[in-house]
Amino acid sequence: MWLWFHRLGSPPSFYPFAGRLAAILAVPGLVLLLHGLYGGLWLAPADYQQGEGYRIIFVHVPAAWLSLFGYSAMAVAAVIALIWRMKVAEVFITEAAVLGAGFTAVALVTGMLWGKPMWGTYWVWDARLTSELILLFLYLGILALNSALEDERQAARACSLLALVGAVNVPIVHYSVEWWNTLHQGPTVTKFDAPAIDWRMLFPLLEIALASTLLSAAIVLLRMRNALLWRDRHSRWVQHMLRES
Amino acid sequence: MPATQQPLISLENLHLRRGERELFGGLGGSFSSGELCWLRAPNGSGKTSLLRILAGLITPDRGILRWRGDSYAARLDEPHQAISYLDDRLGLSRDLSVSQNLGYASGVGAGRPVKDILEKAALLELAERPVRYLSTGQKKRVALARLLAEGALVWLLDEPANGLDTANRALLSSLIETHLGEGGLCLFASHDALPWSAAAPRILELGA
Amino acid sequence: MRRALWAMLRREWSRYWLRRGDAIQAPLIFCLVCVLFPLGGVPSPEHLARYAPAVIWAAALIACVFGLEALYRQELAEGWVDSMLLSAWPMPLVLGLKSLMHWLFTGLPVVLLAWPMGRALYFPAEALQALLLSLLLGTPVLVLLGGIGAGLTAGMGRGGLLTSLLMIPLYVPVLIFGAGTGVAAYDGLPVTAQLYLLSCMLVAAVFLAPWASAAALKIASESS
Repeated sequence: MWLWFHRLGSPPSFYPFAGRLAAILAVPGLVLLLHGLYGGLWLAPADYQQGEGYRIIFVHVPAAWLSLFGYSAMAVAAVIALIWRMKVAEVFITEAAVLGAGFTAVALVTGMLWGKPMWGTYWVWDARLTSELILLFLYLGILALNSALEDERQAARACSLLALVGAVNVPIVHYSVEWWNTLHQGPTVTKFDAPAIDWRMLFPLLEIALASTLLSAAIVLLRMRNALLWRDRHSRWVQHMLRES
Repeated sequence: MPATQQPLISLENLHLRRGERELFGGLGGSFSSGELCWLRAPNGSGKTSLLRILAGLITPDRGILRWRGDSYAARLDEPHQAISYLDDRLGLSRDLSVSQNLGYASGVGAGRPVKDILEKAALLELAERPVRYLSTGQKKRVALARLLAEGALVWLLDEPANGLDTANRALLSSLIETHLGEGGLCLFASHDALPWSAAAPRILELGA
Repeated sequence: MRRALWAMLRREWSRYWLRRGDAIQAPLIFCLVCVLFPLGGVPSPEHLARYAPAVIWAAALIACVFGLEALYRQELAEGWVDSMLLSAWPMPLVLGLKSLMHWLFTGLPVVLLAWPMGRALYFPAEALQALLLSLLLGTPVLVLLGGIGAGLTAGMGRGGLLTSLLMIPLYVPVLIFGAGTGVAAYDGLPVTAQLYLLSCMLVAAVFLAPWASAAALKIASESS
């Protein structure tokens, strides 16, 4: 088990592995996505309260889920990168941060677009939206640090440390924002309050969430391959591969 | 050097990549107490990196370092600071005076009385002046005094003779001699030949 | 052992004392920002007093972030970071002492200045006590956490806004509970919960933040 772990951590073995894994994840991901979209946009009935507008959840919920899941994955990778000094883990953090930031932004924007017709306002300072906003800043901080430091190695390791510190902070931020919110707001307005969500809506939602996760993983793997090629561009294994192709 | 004595530092199979250069393809070696070693190499061949690896500031990509035969972390168990490192940055606080800097180095290091160090390094007149107002040569002398104050076993010097006039070079020479006499180890990196008065250094070549 | 601690404290004290002109900038920024709000808004007691905790805490945050700039840049350039990494003393301890001194010169003045600023914003004196206590507990946390950000950006020429961008999301909980203390005190509500939580954060920061700062500086020194 450890041997496999350490072998994967070395770029020359990781590169082909990532390529194969990306293909394995992308195909079912794409299929699930199409099926889920069909189910959600076509088959599922209109909500009795919100009409057709509710369908934005098929974008909003997977995006929000991925923004959180992505950060957790980055936190785990940060621990691995710092303890074992693993280049592959460092690269994961910088590449996944781009997608994570994108999904957080999408979640915020779709949340705003949903909010206007549903509750009459684009923004409300409730716990979840505010935490999501701060999460966006955490992601942007990692991206900014990565581009600001010139030495690639130093940038990757600094981002790992930052991701870890941020990860420790995320639950604290979430709790404090929630406390702040319940103290000052009236009844919350953004809870997905339906007593039970119809399975015809829930099922495509879960499908799309799973599909997005698979597809994002595939994209991150491909980005990681790219990044490893660039970072190791002078090393023997890359020269070998370029010569062979 | 008695054959039974453990080398202070030993290296095996050292590898480090900096950008497109592969430095030290599998370098190895050992350094013992009382030894003076000259890392002779042209600029850019990794002298600074090697010194920083020995100082524990950089982790090599591959390779094993040993302190007295144990893992390198054992150097932190020495009663006082094990290694001192000197490069162009000098390790001095510009705002503080000479004696304040030395007092700090001594307090954190082996605790030698500041007055003795000021005498040995001929800095008594400059004692209260802030380092910022000293000339380059004077600053370098204070930096050497800092090494004395820290009282470490191993001195790693990166281009120590840079910017030194004859008098200061003589001081550098004598300080190193005393250090070696007390059982210390000194490695210095330089691309030039240096006229050391007494001790003939062992030469370690680093490839271009 | 005591000799070394004393030497470290003396050095940090001297360093900050000799550059007290620089250190005073952070508290000055604090006052400036506090002054901007009445100037930019309606300077009546009802308007200002309500927002005084938020204004004071936001100003404290900004002042702290400005003060972080110089925390490690000069030390790294002077080779002090290398020396400390090599010394027999654990880097987290050294950095913890440094943060203490940094707070004494930048954070403590902010706490003291918050009293006149708070009164200037028509904040009632009884509630101001709680607010000051929250600042006393919270500003060290800001300095300790800020050390991590300063360490991460230490090698760069122009840290500037980047340090702020990195730090502000981490500061949000401190801001929420700190200003929350003031708001609760203003409404006559109990403030013990907020103060306890701030104390928790302080203790956690004292024990955890220096480790992270040391790790950050080690990363920065690896590439010099």
